Amino acid sequence: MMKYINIILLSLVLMGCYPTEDLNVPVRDNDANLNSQLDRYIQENFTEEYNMAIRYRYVDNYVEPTQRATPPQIEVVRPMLDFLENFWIDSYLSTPNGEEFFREHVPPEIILIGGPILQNGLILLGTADAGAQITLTDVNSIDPENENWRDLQLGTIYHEFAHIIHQRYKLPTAFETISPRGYTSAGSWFILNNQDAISRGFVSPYGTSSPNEDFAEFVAFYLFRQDFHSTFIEMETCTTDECLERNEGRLMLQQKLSAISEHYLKVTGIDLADLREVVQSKL
Amino acid sequence: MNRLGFIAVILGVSLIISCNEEEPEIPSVDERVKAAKANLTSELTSARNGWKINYQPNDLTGTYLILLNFDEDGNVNIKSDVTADDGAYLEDNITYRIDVGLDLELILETYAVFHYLFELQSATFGGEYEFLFDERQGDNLIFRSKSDGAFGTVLVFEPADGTEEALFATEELNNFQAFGGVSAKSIGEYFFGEPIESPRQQIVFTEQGFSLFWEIDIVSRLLRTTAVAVGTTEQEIVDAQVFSDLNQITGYSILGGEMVFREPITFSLQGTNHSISKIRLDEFSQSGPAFCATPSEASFVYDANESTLGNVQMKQTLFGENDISFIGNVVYGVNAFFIFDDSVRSIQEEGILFDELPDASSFLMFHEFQNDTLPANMIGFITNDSLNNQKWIFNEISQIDTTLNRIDIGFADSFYTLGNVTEEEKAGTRRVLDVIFEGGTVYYYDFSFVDGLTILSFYNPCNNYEFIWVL
Repeated sequence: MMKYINIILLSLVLMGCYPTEDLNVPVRDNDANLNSQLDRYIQENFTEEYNMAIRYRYVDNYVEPTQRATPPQIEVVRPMLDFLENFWIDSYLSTPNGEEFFREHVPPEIILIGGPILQNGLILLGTADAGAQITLTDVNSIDPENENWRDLQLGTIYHEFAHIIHQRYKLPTAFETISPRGYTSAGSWFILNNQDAISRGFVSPYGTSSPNEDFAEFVAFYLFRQDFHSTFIEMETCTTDECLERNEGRLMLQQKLSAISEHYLKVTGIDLADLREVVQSKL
Repeated sequence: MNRLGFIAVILGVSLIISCNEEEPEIPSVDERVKAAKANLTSELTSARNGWKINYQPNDLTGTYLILLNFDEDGNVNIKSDVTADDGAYLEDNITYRIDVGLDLELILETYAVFHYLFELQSATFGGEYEFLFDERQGDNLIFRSKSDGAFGTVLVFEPADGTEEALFATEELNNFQAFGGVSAKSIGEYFFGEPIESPRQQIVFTEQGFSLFWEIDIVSRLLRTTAVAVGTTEQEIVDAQVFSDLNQITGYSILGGEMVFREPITFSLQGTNHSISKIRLDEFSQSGPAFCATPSEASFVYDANESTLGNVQMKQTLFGENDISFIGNVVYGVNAFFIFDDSVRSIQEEGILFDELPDASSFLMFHEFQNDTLPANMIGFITNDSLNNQKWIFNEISQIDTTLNRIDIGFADSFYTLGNVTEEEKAGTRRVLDVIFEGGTVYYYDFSFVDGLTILSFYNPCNNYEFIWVL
């Protein structure tokens, strides 16, 4: 049973968005260490290039006081930066109108955590807060070939980056009216499973927690899930009631796909289908 | 600081200023912070051979030897005797930072041995990597943990003298890792979230003719001495019948080829008092008896020596305490879920039980059961199908022998059944039992972690299957 609890928590937190209040925590860099090769690389390729800080040296304000976490091993930081450049930054740079968008909307701070974030002995796999800061966990286990690890990271990054769109440009018009009855009451989304979510017109249980999370989950899943169309868009041939319910949900998901795609194109100039194609070509 | 206090300080400062004709030069906060940081940096870098810590993350662990060498550029070299993860933490070069919060803080900025210990047991192990500086005591620097809350670990940084590296016992510590492998762990992993593997050892005092038994936690460096018995072999111990339970817990470390106990192991045997505080480790070999007839892999043995008791052999064993017996005229039983394979998977959900008897709900043993209608000894399953039809499918036992906590068991060809049981179901039951009891021997241990319930855990060394039975 413990195993199941852990798995539930895992899926609960996988896409968890935990707004924190201390966004502008002063980060105390150790001046003496800024001269290392790694720091110079970060300075040139992230800080100066995109105005983005990469935090890998531990500062305890990066997590909540009740959470426990560790910094990454120094050896994995550069490979992690390469992963971010390849799977995230380069995806935008290689998409028409993507570079301009990326440079204008880049989150100012990326925090790397070595293991999971633990709270009372339970694992939280990834956290992030609305756009300003993205916290990537489990960096010590870096393995871009491992689908679980890769999906955890891409899920976090693309989800958080998607929040910037609705923060700056609002949600697509009438977005919340596509699946109005599907949203769950506060704190109860985790009682749903993936199939329930689809039946309600959502890509994940967490997406049912609010229209903003619905939007961010949808964009992230659309970009990094290889099976996106077969799972969320294409109709099943049904013999059961549950299957028919899922197909009803897929009708709403199809509406969401066109609403989100139109909105993205209008406000960012990016065709999400182009971006998906680039992301998928890297997987 | 509360508001009154703050006002008092301002008043105090203004009084000093107003009463003093010459304006005093009070350094700015920035200057004071800078000076405090510089002071601690200078302390940390002043030790010529660096610092040593006999590090004990909490009261219920042994001790880890850690050497730290700081430079003025914010780098620290860390050496330790933690051999985990293929020696990843034996030496690390990382950066450190001194911060000023409520106290001066020393922060080890990227992952090294302290972070490994911090993360153990889902980060509840008690390790730390952010330290608050308390004071200098003589030559030592005293820090305490920032992350432990009110009961923070105190860390004493002692100046190293350059000889400490010779104490690292990497080879001996690695040898101890090999003692793992043959011991129950699935049950602990299921109930407590991670494998709690406590290999059991028999410490044979060959010249004295007696043995200690302990279970050892190699990660926490903790051991629990369970019993002392007269005899050096299983047969001698069974024949002598002098077996007393001890239940003494102590941390240990392995330094310079010696296993050192924080608390001596003390016991009295046949009128003589003994106290053992360290054991010298000599020769490690894979030359002990096998635990399973097939495949017959020899077990590990450490030849060692205790200064007054003489030669010692540390052996892997599956024997444990003697304070719980496998009594008769009872029924042992459990929900069929609680039978695990060697990967901690319940075989009711996945594996042979699911394949052969998907409706199995209970797993039971009638042991020397005195009754007019039921066989005295049998093991089997009760199944409940979706229409709630119940069946009993029990394989009778032809032979059962108990030696200490070892049970040797053999099945008869006959079955006891209730309900409409098919021949195929009987054959399936037998196939399941042949896996659970592969090799014909299981060992049982007290697993009564719930008040008022006698729970036994069973371990099969031939295939690492485990199950529990509740009495």
